[in-house]
Amino acid sequence: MAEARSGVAAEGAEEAPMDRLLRGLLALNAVSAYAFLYLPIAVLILFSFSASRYASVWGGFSFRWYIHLFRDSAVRDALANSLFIAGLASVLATVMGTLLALGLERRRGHRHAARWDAAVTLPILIPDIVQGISLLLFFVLSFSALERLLGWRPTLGRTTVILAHTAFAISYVAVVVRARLAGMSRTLEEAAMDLGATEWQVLHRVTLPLVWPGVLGGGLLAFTLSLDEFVITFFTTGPGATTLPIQVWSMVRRGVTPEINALSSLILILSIVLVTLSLAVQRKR
Amino acid sequence: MATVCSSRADQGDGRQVSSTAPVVELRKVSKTLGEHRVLDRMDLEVHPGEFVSLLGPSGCGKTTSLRLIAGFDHPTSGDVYIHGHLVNGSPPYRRDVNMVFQSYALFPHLTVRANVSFGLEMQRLLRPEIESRVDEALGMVRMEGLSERYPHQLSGGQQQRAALARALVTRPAVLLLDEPLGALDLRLRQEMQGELKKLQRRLGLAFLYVTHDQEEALTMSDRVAVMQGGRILQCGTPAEVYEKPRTRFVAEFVGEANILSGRVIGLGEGSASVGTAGGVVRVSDAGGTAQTGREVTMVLRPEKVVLSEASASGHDNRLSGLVEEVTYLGNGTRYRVRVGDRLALTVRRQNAPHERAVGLGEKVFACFPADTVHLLTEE
Repeated sequence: MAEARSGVAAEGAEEAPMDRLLRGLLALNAVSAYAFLYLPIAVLILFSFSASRYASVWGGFSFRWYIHLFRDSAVRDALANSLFIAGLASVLATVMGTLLALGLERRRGHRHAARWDAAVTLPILIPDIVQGISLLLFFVLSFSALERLLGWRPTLGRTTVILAHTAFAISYVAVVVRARLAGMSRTLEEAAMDLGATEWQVLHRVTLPLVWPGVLGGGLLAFTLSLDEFVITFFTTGPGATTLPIQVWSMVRRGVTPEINALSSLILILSIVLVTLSLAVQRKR
Repeated sequence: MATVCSSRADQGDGRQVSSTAPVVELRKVSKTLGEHRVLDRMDLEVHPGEFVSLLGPSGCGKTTSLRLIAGFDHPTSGDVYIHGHLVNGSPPYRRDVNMVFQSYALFPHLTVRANVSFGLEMQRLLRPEIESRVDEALGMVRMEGLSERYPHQLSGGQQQRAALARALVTRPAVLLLDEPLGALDLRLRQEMQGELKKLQRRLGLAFLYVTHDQEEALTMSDRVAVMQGGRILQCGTPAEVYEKPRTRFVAEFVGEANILSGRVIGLGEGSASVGTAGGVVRVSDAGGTAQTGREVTMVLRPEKVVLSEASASGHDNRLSGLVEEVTYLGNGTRYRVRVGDRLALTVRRQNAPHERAVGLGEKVFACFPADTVHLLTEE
């Protein structure tokens, strides 16, 4: 620091001792904050390659637990469930969230527009546990109603998880698409209409091509969130609908093994890839 | 005080703009947004091949009237006609008008060529015809070489040309231009003014041009409609609006103006004498509207006044005064001459070779003929 400053510093312009101390403390804070954030994850990934039978003992480098993982049929089923649920939920949420965002954008400036806007964003702030319990209650009541009407009672399972994931992902998609729409002037749609495009033609020739990165980004985000979701899934899932996070949880109940380290590492890598992809497509002009 | 803006009603100077049916007509069009009345019973006619400007300060309703014609907004009351057909409720894509937006509104995901062909594709024309008409339009605005570029790769002036080509290519009944040169710097703006006007003449296309720049309106238009508060205050040729403004607002908005007010103290044949704060001013009153004792307001343009040192005769009006401000403008000089306690005249003089400069604090006579003083008929 001193060398960098010496070129411009005038004589006697030595840094005040307090400033130097402050600088040191800030640097220390930055280092420890990053360590806090990433050290546990680094340890997790490192120990997923440990040959030891114990999750917290280093037993030399090995792919043993990854191989073990892929042979585990329960894990394979959970992965398949997770991908299926995330795929369907993200598609549903993307369609609904995008249309909602378009509608909200159109109503901008109208009476109560800000409230409808807030009502879409609010679920993001609702605690997962509250959302999970409320969805469970809603499903149970709906099932009872269906039973009374049709004499057939559905059970909790993949469908309810898909519906629950769609419900919370709509908000995220709508927010991402709205951000993209905000950068797009309504004048463009007017210009298209002025040149003879009907509402439908405007949508598929101008609006969708322009918000497409937001739609794709929102969809990938929804997919990632669904893949990682635990609390809401826990409340709304049923037999045969175990997702990866639920699988991890049930394995942990039987004791933390290096296999869990490996599985968690894979989920992490997958999430990072998806989120990066989501951000990258959103940034596309 | 609804002013009918129609070329047929304004042929006082013998100029025949057009005798055919108007391509666009507004009849008693009002637009209310909440409590605010944006347009107030506005009448307007635009005839084939005519260049009409809507001139006014921001918020006067000029852009709103364009939007009503384009179909983006709908009138609260009154009727909009295009080609004689009532279009009040019809959507923008059913209207034979195109708009050039202030922000250009080029589609950012399409090349210049794709932008320009958009309107023709919407008309479902065949590819060869689309291609040839796009080439023609790009040629008109001298953008042939840039057709494969995307809007963000173009300068402001080039974007402007592309937007113009896109609006022209469908050959609309009238082109609506919403301050199209507003975002360009002065040099480019002046260049584009000339090009726009040339293009408009060559195509014989009607232009309805919105601007707050009075110079732009005066130099380009066949007719200028001066707007304020959702109304057309006056509509006429640039010369009419400048020389014979009907209200004080028009006089002050279009060019610089000295506003003289006073009481009529004598009447002559087609003229009147008015007592002002600077002395008695003789004014020609062809309309015969002046009556003795009446309060009147008059307009005197700064360039009509000549400053002379001697009490030279031969002028109808000669007010003595003191030069209290001199502003050098390059091509001329602007003086502020105090001719009375409550009256100072702005005088403009060209920087001509034979003219002697008048200095600050000099005692001068402000001279001007009676027929350069214009009596306002409305307040």
